[in-house]
Amino acid sequence: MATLTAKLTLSSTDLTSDTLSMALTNILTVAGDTRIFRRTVLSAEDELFTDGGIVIAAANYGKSYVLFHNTSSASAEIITLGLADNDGSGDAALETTNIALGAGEFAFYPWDSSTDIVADAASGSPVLEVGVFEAA
Amino acid sequence: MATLTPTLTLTSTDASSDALSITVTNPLTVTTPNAGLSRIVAATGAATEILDDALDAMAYIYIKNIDSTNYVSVATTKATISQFARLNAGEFMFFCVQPDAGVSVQANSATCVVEYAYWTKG
Repeated sequence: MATLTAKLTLSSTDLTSDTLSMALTNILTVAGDTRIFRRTVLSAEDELFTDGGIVIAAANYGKSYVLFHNTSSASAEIITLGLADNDGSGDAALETTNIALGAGEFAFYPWDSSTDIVADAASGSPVLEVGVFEAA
Repeated sequence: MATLTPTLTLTSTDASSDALSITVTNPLTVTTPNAGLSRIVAATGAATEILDDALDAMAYIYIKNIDSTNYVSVATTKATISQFARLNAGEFMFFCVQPDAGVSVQANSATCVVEYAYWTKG
């Protein structure tokens, strides 16, 4: 068992008449697999040839806290994340899209590990930084 | 247009031999429609939509399960419910939703209060 502290702050001075400043902290208990890595995300057409679109395989993890960060600085290099194979064809194609990450954007959430997470790039070959922390 | 700055920090002294300290931040340009901090009661029998799948634009969304015991499943709602996240008691999430995807929440064993906010990408 180990402890992962996740802190999210959201702030804005011009979003509303009132200044937004909120901070959330979760102290999460993690165990099992922890991985932090970077990988290049290709376009859908390339992924279909390589069958390499799976970023995190559900078979390898239980519920996990996941961080995805599109490290690209090119605005056209949007990374789409979603679920694979809801048509039962057994491939690694992106078939249900959930999340879109523009250049520099990130997502953090507790993945339920029910389905593989697949990534697809709108253009180019952006690098996706991934952190996976399996929940205890 | 306005600027929303989210910052995520992940730290741990015992998840690995080397102390972990990751900080990610990114000023985001946002516009309307948006929803400020809001709370709804997530039911158990059916999903409750908190971001309409008719929104044809990307949107940044924050969701937190306020309940102290039960978990909430989070899904995108376009065409079919596609569950991909589970918020245990007190947990939160932040991500950018695909255009037209929609987001819904559903409590597992008892109704849960869910806090959320979203901002359309500018």
